[in-house]
Amino acid sequence: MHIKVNQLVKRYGSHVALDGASFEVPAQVNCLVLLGASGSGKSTLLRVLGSLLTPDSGSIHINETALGWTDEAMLKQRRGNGFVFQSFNLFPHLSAEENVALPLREVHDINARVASHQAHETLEKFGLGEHVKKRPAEMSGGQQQRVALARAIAPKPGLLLLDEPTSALDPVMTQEVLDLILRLAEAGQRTVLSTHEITFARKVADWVVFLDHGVVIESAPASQFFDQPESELARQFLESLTRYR
Amino acid sequence: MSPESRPQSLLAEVFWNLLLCLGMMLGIWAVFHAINYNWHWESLWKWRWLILRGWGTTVAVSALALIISIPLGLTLMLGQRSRWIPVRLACRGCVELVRGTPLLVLLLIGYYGVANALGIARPWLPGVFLLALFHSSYLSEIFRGAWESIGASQLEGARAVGFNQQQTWRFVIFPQAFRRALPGTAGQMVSLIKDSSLLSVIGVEELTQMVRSANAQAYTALEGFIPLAILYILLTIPLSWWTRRIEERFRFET
Repeated sequence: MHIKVNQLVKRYGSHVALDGASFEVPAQVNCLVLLGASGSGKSTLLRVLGSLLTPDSGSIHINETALGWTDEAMLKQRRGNGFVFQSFNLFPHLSAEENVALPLREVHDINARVASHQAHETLEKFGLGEHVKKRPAEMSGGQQQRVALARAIAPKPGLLLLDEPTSALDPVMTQEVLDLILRLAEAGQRTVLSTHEITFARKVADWVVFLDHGVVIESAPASQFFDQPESELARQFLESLTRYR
Repeated sequence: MSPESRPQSLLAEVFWNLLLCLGMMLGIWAVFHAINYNWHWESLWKWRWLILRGWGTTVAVSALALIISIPLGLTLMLGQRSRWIPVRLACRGCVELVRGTPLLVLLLIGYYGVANALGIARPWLPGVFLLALFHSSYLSEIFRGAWESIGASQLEGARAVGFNQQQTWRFVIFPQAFRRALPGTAGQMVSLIKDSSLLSVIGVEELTQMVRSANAQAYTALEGFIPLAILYILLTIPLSWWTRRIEERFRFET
């Protein structure tokens, strides 16, 4: 997936989340990982890439096509993406199965029987076969996040965007969820992931974009970034994340 | 565990209900005994049909006002969220003005002023409308609170799965806001039924008005007010019970 981001700016009031971020990812990259300290702009960049947020200026090309920023264009682009958030964002009034099936029916025009079959199948594949009828509050954090992953993946998105998907989970649940993400990435799912799980990032990433204060400090193949980071900032960041691991 | 789901034997519940009822009746008896009140039920009994006719009017007027107040409240709430400044200000102003005025004043000005100017002679028509308007301004605030309690993360989740605005409203906001608005709405409906008694001041022949009239004609003083209370409770208790049932059905943890 060829991604070209040029001079992306996004402000929230007086706070500048993205301050002219630019980078390019070559076409053969399957899994892009966004790294950086909290507040570096990872989440904002991920949301703009996925058409959840409109940038104030700048441009994004994915596979040579420029993303549009009208409401209709963004809705259309969003419908081709799958999202998973740090706080799951499941619909609390719906069962796991309905959480997955509802968007299939209403957004992707799949008939009710097929949608519920697909939802069931995806949840089963994610080890949630016995929880399909449960509502989010009746499941553990790890199970909820796996439902969220099933919801994102069931419509077969062109791009899967994961925003710190394990930051709200304990180590055991984190591992459940990371196992799934790795499986998806290895099966060829195009993914953009922002994370603090540095060991996992190393394992899954093809390419790394390292941000600081809304600016891209480094954009490099994963092995190169982890073995020989060019900037002092990236070196310090990696050192601080691996110190106790 | 919520109080409703706590296991409890039916027998204990019946026992306590009976005991509390007995206590209450004893209290009422003690009050009237203390003031040496002489009951004359037989003279009031002659006017029972008058009272029941008033009750019928109360049921009809309240039901109509209830049916109007919910869409009206919804409209006022949506109006307050409108993109157009005049619509927003008009709805906000309407809610504040109506909420800030006693229903009695609203009815007197609305009937003897506005309805008179418009040439509307039947009091029940402006009566029902004003009752509905008064309660819809409270309802709009209940609805607004319920809507605004749906967090930003839910709205982002809705956008993320590709819902457009209508779908977000229909599948994400409405079902969750509905559940949260239920208890407040139920309370408002009970208030509406009781407030319908104020329509007597503009000459609607509803329950309170008819009880007063029966009391006057039977030369009784307090006798009428006991059936009056009972007849209102006969309307409000089933309403509370019914909304509780709906709440149970839509219960989910967030």
